[in-house]
Amino acid sequence: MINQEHYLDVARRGMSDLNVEALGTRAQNVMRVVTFRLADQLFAIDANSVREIIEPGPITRIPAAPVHCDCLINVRGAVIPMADLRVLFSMPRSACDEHSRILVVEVTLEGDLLVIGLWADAVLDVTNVDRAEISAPPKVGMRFSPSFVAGVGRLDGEVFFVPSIASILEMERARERDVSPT
Amino acid sequence: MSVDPVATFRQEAAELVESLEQTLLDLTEAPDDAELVDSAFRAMHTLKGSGSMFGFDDVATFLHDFETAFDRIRKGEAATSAQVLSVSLRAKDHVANLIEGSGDPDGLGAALIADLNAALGVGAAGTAGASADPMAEPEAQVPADGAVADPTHDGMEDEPTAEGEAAGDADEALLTTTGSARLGVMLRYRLPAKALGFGTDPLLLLEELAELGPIRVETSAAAVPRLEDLDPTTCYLSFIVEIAGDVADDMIDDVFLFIRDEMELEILPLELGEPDDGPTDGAAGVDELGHEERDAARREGEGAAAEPPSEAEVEAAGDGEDERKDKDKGGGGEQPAHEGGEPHDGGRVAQGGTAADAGRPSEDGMAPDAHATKREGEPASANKLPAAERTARRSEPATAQGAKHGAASMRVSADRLNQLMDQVGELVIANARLAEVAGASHDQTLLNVAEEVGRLSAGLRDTAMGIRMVSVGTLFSRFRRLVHDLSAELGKELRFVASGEETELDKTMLDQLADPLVHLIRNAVDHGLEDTPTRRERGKDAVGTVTLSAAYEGAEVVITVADDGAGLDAQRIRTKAIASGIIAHDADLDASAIHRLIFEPGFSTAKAVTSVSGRGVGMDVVRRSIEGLRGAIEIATEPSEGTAIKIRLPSTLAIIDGMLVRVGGARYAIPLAAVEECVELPDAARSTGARNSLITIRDELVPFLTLRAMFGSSEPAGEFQKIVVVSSGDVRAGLVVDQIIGSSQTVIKRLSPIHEDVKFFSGATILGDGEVALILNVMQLAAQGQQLAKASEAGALELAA
Repeated sequence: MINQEHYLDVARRGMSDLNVEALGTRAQNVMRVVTFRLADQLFAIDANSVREIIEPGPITRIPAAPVHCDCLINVRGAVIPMADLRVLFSMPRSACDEHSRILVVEVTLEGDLLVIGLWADAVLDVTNVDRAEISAPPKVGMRFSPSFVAGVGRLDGEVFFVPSIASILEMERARERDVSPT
Repeated sequence: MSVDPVATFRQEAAELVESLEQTLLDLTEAPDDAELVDSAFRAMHTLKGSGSMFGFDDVATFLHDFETAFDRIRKGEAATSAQVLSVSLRAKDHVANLIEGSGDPDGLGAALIADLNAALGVGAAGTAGASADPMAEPEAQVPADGAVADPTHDGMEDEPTAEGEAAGDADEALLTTTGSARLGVMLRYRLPAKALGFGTDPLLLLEELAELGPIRVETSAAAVPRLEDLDPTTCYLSFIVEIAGDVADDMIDDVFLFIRDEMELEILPLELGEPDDGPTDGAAGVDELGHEERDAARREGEGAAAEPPSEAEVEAAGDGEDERKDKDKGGGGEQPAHEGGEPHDGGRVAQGGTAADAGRPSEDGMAPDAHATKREGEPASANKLPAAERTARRSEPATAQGAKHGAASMRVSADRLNQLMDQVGELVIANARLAEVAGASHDQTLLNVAEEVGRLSAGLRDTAMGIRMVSVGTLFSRFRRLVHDLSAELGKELRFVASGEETELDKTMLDQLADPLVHLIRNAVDHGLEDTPTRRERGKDAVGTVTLSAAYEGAEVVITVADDGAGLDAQRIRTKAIASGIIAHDADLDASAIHRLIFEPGFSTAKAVTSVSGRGVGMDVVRRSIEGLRGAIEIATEPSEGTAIKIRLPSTLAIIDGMLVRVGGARYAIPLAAVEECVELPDAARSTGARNSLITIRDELVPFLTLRAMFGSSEPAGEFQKIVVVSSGDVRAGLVVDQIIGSSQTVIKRLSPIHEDVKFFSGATILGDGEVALILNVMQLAAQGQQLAKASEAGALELAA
């Protein structure tokens, strides 16, 4: 495990070195993100946490599982749970079309590295965002818990959310346990 | 990744400490067994040696004293009383703590040695010395142990001062280890390929060997490759060293301490010498062997002579694969020729053999096996086989030899095993896909190949799984100490019986089982067994019995902790549960429900909190850990007969044979070993459309669950629904499915932590077409079926009334 993590780490560092060609101050101030769309909302997540982007294949539904993560997919021999941000952000779940993609991302949940799939109605771009332009989410006036979002920013005039996958999963898990104590 | 030598030492030391503990416990049962005393002594000695090399001076110092005290037993100056063993066990714990690096601020070590000496009946002077200055003690106490005089760490142990006495002791002690004095030994060794890289200096090794006695060294450069193939960091030389004098294997082992596991080393005694036999000449005349042995040796000599020597040479030096595998046997065979009068011939044969081996460094796979064989197989006894038989044995496959010495093993990191399992899993999935494609193509050649690959991958799967499986005996043996200590602490006489140790479980599962079992055994001893007077009063055997057993039951492994104590007191449990607010005072519970209350958090019936149990944190933790392993826990108890707690676990976490079924639009796998039979769903049951009901199968009522309803499937039911009857222990349940698709090899992938609360499924697998299918958790479903059956029974009774 240590080994694998080590390689991942090296790979990640390698990736960011390649992507952020200018070193020094600029690298620290700029975040490389993958932008994607769910319903009419733009999202951005750290490109370093994205392992790959795949087209949807066969999906297996898990009966009696929480709605926001009730599916499994096979990513080259690994069984990976899917998380549907649309459920959590109270958005309509539209059927898959030719733009639908799955972002395979790494999340650290309670100290363990977890690989999960995220639905995207469309993946748009890999781009640089100035960290200074990402601010904390407003405390009120949102359709969902503010802790679901790590930050809010603007890209070409459009507002985007940086979802906080780990805290979403942790909160949902805690909530599930409260609802149905074992 | 660099290897931390200290970590390696700790790991190996832990094994030695454990084996020391087992030996001490064995001694409690057979106090007069000299072999056990020797084995304990050896464990201490090896620990001491490696401890001091890695800078664990406190360990070495303490062990030296421990060893010195134990040496008295070895020499028959003191007896292994229960008290000695009990102090020794504590001393062993102290060693384990020292190795962990906890130090000894309280001077516990000195106190333990004092206790040990007191138990052994050593004079007060020695004891005083022990507490005053542990470093000075070796001289103060007992003549230094010559047998273990260790050329590599003489200096630090201040032994030379006691040399005069040591020499005398050495002879005596050696007689006990080897049985007979040797006139010399011949070593054949080749250093591990990486030895030079790790800083091993071959010359220093030779110097150390020279300290053991006059030596004669022969080197063979036969394995040195051509210049372009030469790796300057590899040592290609092999050595033949003859040491004159009485040298114990231990001493040689000490010289090679750090490279011993990787290197090829053969130690052959020189028992008979011929005039042209080099430095052993002088000693050759003195024959201290018994008549029998000498005769045997002579017979061998004749046998070897009768056998054309050229054949032996050709075989040993030959290039055939078999010969390589059998090289250790070849070595055994040569020896008589050497003794019997053709020493040079024999020597050359030996070189030839080594050279042949060295020529294929990359095929070292056999080395650990061969090495283990050599190490434990006493060369002397191998030599006594008649020559004809020896020749026959050469042609035996190496596996036979391996089986004979079943202990041969090697350490592999868990990471690599996991990787292997992952890859085998992928192979199985790919193979399922291949079978599907081949089946669709109707191409006979392709079908044949697919079948062949299928067979191979199934074999590989079983082998790979077998590697991960560990017999529960390794875990059970740990509890002997626990029971021994509990018995002393609680003053209850008891007997510990373990059975089914050969039952195998996945290693990861076994590791997580240790703590729950400790709790259960503690409970059995502390709460389960009555104290000795009470037992006598009740007319029971005064010695209580705690049984730990393991057995296969279908796809499951059942581990039982049983005692023959008082049994659970339902009334007391009830009172207690009411008092601690777990149940309402008017709750209506049957006996088994009351018994299960002991698994509730915060429950404890012990009248007093002892250091052993009674804090009420045990049983609920046990239940949770077992459920975490997807297992179940059951209680069976009879008043005054005892209590048995059964833990039911799936036997593997990796790959199983599964039955593939369809429910609605989705496919699911059921572990095939849990499937008892499949029957048609009767029309009557179908029409009701109920979620669950009962069906009579061969005069037995079996509850069944309609999976479609449970999984919320919206698709219309299949026309030919089936009931798959599954069992978990003695609980049976039927699962209604839309279709039975067939069987498939199922690689179990654990569900991610996000889904750990999903109880219907024990994992997921990938089907031949790449789709993911969920694996039904039979244990959970069967239990659920049983609950529903009970509920409907109760309902029916109410209706009838």
